[in-house]
Amino acid sequence: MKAFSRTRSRRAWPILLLLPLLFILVLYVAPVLNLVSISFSEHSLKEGVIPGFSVGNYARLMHDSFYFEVLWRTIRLSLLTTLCCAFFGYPIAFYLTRTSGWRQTIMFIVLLMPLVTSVTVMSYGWLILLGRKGVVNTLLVKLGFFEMPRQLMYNETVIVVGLVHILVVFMVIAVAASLQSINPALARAARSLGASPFTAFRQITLPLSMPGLRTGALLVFVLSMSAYATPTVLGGTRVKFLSYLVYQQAISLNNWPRGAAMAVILLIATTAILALASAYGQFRAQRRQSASETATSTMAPERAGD
Amino acid sequence: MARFLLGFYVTIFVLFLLAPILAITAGSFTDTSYVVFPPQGFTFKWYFAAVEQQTLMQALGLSLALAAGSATLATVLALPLAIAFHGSGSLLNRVIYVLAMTPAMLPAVFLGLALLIMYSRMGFGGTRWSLVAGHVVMALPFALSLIAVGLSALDGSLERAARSLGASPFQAFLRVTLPMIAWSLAAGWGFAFMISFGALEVSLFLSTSTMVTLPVQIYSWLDWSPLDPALTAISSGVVIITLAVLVVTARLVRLDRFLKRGSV
Repeated sequence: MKAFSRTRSRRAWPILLLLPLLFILVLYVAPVLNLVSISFSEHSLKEGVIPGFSVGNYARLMHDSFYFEVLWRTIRLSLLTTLCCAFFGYPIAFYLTRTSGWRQTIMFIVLLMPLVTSVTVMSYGWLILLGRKGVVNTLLVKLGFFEMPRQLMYNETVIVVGLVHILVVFMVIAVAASLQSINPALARAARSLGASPFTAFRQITLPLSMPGLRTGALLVFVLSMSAYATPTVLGGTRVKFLSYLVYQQAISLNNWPRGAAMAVILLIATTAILALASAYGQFRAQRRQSASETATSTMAPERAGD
Repeated sequence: MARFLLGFYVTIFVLFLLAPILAITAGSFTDTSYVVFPPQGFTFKWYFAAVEQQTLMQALGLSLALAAGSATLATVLALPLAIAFHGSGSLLNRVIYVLAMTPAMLPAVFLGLALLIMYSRMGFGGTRWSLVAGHVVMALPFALSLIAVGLSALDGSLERAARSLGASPFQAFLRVTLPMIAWSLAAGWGFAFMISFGALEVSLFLSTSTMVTLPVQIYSWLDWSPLDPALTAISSGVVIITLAVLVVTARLVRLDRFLKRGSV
């Protein structure tokens, strides 16, 4: 009977799966592969995309110092955004696990609101807050901190603020999930054995919440590397992100192959940094393990973190 | 003391999260002809002014229809994928599942440019179908992951009981499983709706001059008259619509389930 039903469902599923599978392959996978292949074509103003294979776009980008400056800024500010999300989001994650009922629900809604509300509307909100006639400037002038309104927009700090605002929810939820799975008796035991609250946190809670921090960091980093609207609106014309250059090449300058090559490099850079981070994490974990194995056969404090 | 400090920090952080939203809402009620702080007077006239702007209302209509349509399509496509993945974690199923999840992680401009080029080559670039297809691709991961949450919260013995009592697999699914995961379908739809309704980048690539979504319209308006109170009025309209969908979705999902999964 069981075998019978299994063969039946095996025959039924491929038919139901066919439609979504076709959709994904034709309308998503094919365009992505096509973009990669177009990045290897040449472009001329007259004919547009010239079919063929050349690495010209990539070679030219390698010699473009402006492009590298923007790529470096994108990476640097994305790392900074990730750090800020971890630092400022951690206490919120802690709060989320210590609260329940309507307070928790409202906290979730408030955290999700910046993410799900249109990113243009959010950037616009920052523009109103931080513009020359904005809330912050008006307030600071009235309180006497500034003599006259100052330019608070169009710099790197404001981009990080805008990105943290939208993306911190990923970090909070990931960290809260791992905090929730920690047995609270562990930290209590450390405290009763004489550890200060800070030591108990550093030696027990923080290492055990590492998986959550890692997941959160991955999501925040990937999403801020690919951010478009926030850096474009808040950074203005001077402080650009790589996504903006892709848009400019492909739409304003109509050079699809070059825009495609830029987009591919953005993707490769993101993946490469994630791979490096994960390799470094594994290396540290291994070293830590071998260190704690050789150090002592009794309970080493590092053990708690493994 | 520590509890007080944490409460204080949480309050500050909530204020930070809400600040841009509050600024937009406050700005839309001003009596002056540009956004100013503190707002002067209190009036709804900018909401009426926004409603009278035909381009804005057309963009709003398009965005609402697009979000509803692509959320529905994404949910319909995600359901069999989620069931297949839940039913058997075979390599093929896992590959398909991960593939369907990747649009959420891909740089938005990468996705936008890829879709623009291919859809033009396929012959439907610049039509509303290209927008629909693009938004479904984008919304699919969100519908899929929420339906997967619903299925993983499911007690499989009920479906097996129905089967042992003589129901066909299809009947058992329709009468037992589907009602029990209906909440996750609705929540997946809600998330897909919000993602599509707020999307900028992909729409920016796929829009034409006659077919503009609301986020694209607001984005281009930001360049030339950012202090127009009508713009704050329509923006706070976007906030209100999103908040309504989010609150309903939140009630359906019981958001603390996210804590068990560790991601949105």
